[in-house]
Amino acid sequence: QETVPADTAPPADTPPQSEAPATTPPVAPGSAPAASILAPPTPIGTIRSISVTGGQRLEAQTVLSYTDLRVGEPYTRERLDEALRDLYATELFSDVQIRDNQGALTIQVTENPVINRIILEGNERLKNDKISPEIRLAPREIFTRSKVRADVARIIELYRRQGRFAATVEPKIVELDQNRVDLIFEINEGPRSKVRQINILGNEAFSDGDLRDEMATKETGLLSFLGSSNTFDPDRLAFDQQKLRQFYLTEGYADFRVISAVAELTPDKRDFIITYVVEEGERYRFGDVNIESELRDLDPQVMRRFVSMETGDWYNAKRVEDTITLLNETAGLYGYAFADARPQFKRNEDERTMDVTFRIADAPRVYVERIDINGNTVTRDKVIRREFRLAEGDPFNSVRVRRSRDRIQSLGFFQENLEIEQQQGSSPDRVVLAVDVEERATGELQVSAGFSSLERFLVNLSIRQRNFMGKGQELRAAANYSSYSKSVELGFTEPYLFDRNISLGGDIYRRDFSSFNFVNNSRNTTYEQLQTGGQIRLGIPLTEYMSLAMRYGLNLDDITLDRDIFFTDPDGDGPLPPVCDPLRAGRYLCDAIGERTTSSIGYSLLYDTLDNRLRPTRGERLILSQDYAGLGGSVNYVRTRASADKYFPIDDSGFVFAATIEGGYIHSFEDAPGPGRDPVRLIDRFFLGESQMRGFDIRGIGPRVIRRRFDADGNIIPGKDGIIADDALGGRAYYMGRAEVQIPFGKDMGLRPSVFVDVGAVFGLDDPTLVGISPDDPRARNRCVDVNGNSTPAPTTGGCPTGSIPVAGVAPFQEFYVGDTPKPRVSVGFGVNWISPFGPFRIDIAKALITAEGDDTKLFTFNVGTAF
Amino acid sequence: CAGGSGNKDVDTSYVARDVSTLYSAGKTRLERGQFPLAAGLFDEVERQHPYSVWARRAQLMSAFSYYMARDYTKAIQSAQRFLSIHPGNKDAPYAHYLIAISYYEQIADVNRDQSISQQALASLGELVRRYPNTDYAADARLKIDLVRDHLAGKEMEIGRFYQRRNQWLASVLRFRNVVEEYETTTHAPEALMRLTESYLALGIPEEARKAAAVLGANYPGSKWYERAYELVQKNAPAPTQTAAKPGA
Amino acid sequence: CTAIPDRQGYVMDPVLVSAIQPGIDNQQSVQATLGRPTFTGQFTERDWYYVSRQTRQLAFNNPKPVDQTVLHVRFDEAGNVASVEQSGLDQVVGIDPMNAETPTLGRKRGFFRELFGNIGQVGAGGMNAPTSNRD
Repeated sequence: QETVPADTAPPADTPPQSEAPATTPPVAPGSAPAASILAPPTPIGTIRSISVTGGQRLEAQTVLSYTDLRVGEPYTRERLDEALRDLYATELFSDVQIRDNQGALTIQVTENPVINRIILEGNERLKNDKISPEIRLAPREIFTRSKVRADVARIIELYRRQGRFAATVEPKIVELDQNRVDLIFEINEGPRSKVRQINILGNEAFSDGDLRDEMATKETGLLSFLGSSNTFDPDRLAFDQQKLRQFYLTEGYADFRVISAVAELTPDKRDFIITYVVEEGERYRFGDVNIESELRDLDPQVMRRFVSMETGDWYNAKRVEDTITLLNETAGLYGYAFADARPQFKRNEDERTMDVTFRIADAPRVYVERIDINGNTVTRDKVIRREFRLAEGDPFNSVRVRRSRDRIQSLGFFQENLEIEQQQGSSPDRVVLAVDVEERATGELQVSAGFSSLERFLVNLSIRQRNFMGKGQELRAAANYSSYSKSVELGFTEPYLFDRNISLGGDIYRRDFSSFNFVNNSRNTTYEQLQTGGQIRLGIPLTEYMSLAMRYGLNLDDITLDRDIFFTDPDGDGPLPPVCDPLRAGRYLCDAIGERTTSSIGYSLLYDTLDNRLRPTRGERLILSQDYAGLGGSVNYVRTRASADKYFPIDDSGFVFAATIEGGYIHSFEDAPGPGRDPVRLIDRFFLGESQMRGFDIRGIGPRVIRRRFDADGNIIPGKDGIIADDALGGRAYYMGRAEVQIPFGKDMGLRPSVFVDVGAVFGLDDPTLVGISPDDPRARNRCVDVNGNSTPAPTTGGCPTGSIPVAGVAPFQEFYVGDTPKPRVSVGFGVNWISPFGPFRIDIAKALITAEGDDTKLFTFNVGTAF
Repeated sequence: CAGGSGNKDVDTSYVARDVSTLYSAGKTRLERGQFPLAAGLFDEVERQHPYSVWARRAQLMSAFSYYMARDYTKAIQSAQRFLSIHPGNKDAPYAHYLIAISYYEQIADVNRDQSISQQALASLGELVRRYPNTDYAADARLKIDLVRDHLAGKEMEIGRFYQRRNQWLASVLRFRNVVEEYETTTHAPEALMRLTESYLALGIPEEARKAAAVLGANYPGSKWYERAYELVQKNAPAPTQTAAKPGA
Repeated sequence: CTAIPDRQGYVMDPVLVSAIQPGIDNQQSVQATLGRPTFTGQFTERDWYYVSRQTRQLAFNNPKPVDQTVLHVRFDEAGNVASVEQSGLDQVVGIDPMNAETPTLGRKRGFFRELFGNIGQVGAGGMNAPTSNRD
């Protein structure tokens, strides 16, 4: 640090206009050296005058205002001491002396210096922007020893939380002119102290390994660089003790006690060894379990069936707690707003059983006096208030309060663990519910590029405001571009129309995507689809968990084929326009081209008890939806889909089991446009493949037409390499099922791995008429076609005779119709979802176990999106 | 919001200049309307020359510049720092006034959190209590009524919300709160009319009549009383005609 | 689809209510048995009201009162119960609230500030953005 010549004496900067009321007499040169208190022992004299010297920043009047000495009053030694103490207490002065000659008091102060700059040195692990907010001292503030000590303690605390217990902080001062100082914190961080070993004594029933799994702190091992669970943290030590206790209580050891938990430094002072001494005590079983109710009209037998434990089961504290919450909830549902169940235990040592009686007491009758909502600087008050399941004046009911908390939480606008506090109301039986919200950014401006095996390189720009105008409305505008699809979308939803819980939404979109398929991993586009349309949605709740959504959609499809590949011009460049050639494109593709409008209305019935819509861990969701297309428009069908998802955590191990089943059927009212052509149009049919069923390629499952080549001596080449075209046709019906287990490994690094099994099939399509050109078919060779259509084999040399046009021969092939069977395809695999520093990243590796002929499988799919 | 950019670069460059050039530079910036720059320069005066008399004045000027630059939190901070060092100074009332006004300017509309309004009310109250006969206090008294009116507005907003959702009991509790605590505000007549509506909807005509009577007595000419009178006549005609006809 | 039943206000318990007799009880005893009133008379302390209401809410429209009891306990100057009346659903009047409002001040947030006012980290993408929201 720069060294500044220490400034000897503060400049005699006499203030331009004198502030002090009393005139400042010059210090008498001859006065005795300034002993701290010169006043002779306690004569009660009167103060004739008081003067303040040495005050540069503070006016004399301010210094005087801190003491209670006033001119004209008697003074004693104690009062002078008291004045001294007061002045020091203000922490504004580094040194204060009071001199008295016969009643003329002179208060001699030297002010604490002012901080000019604060410099941090030696902090590599913790950057300045992490430390400076913690420091209370700031430039232009007054420098005091106590504040510096407090800041040093704060910095050390920061490092302790990082697990660096050997960090030391040394404050240094550089004197500057005009009584200013630069404050320098010299930090040396020291090594990060790790937990080398955890050993547990006194545990017979469970091995050290089982108990260690229960704890949050882990021993340093190979994989510990991934997370920070092996750093030593005293609070986590206490947390682990509690986890141990909880574990034993659920295993029946009611008397479990942690006798001591000691963490000593290893001899080389780098790491810690933690030793727990525990006393397990006896293992208890449940004695007799019964229920008593103080509520006059609540009969205990009704509640009996909610008690899950019987006599003889191993004692388990968690089951007792779950029963209590269950009893409270059911009492609440039966309308006993004030029921409060409490367990009473009777321990009989000899038989080692524990009797439990659940007493449902009549909690005091409490009413909600006020509901206060604070912290909502953006969201409007009513957006939160309308989520409350109880209003002011209603009886207090903990079930409804928790339900309100869940509903506010799932709005997604606020901080993670939002709570509704209960504060005492104006009288004992009144309670005030207060919720303090911290608003999260609900506006997302996302610009991301990604690469997926499905669409190759893709760029996406979307702006979404989930809390538009603070009214809880959602506004969405998205545009994305990839080599295979370009789309623009605009969406708006108002969840509470006219303050009723009717949700009204609308979207308009324009999508232009080209469908493609893989033939021995060369990708060729089959057709382009341009879709423009819009939709209006209306949603109303039926009960607390059931809701009904209705929608009307208008959609214009325009399907075109790549002209030069699939079209042939029957009369060369004559008047006839080129027409889609079934030989090249296949009959079903030629049917699909053209423009069509679909005008459809539909409804869906939703039953949803998921605890969290983004990452559910509990609850289920059932959806039944039907769409009827035929209000005008050129298409007429009804499509029914149903899906059911169920999530449940595997006790509190962190594993979550998710099961999904889904199915759909589309029935067309139009009759088949021709033999071998299905009334349901290609783009309305169901497809199953990469994004829904892992382990299969895009549209890899379901009815398809494959074309096989002939080999040199005229018979069809079987197997994969014989296929020259493979076009999925989709089906009129499909079903799909998935069982997935989410593994809690690596949660703190944003990793969410899971193992899954996918099952499904697409089927039900009228068999298309197949086309084939055998090797000896005239069309297999080049020929000349004259104006009225009869063709003659083209001469080997020279062009066709005038008046006829050369037509190239088509390589011989034979079409086969495969894959149209309801037989379930099964694939199994694992995948990982990783919120990596550069964006969400998903990899899936899945092996297709059971496939049908013609399915395209795919082992490895991934997509990575970088948000920048 | 105007970033305090001026302050940042001046700080690091640590150009030591004497008091009067810094101060006058700050003053010219202020006249030219470059408020954040002016604030930065005044802060520099205080930092480089904490003991000159100009430092005291600079603290106030920097608070004023931040206020003009709409950076209210910084304005409040520097004003409070001034008061912590010079509580007895003759400009202290102005500093208090600056703090109160900075809070007052940030009051959000009734749908939003009103904690800023509470802080404004507290600082205005303190200003009136400490320096009752300054002209700052006169302005503060006026602003106190406006802030109380605003808080009453929020209560009314919530009351109307409960009415729209047929939660009549909750709306009664809210409107009574307005009538009891915010009697002098402009919302009192409307609150009384709303009470008449809610009492009728709750099936307590007697209280409805009382509320309408009080409204008629205090605000006979208001449109609220007309509405209340008409409601009471239609739904709960009192056995004896007590309230005078509106506009009489 | 069935309507959602709900109860607002005081939990009326007929046994306790019938125990209140004019002339015998006073304010303390009423408070002991029934608890504090839902609200007292607006301008006098001598009228206590206990309001309890059962409502049905069908899907999206507002809850309709189905059953309602208002217990009105009137006290004399000395604080003893003068009269106890109960009134039911008949007194309830359908009201649709007047939509005029008294104007209030306070800064209104402009359209664009609303839209962009609450954007967290630009490009926060899937991660939930940090809580700091800059204007």
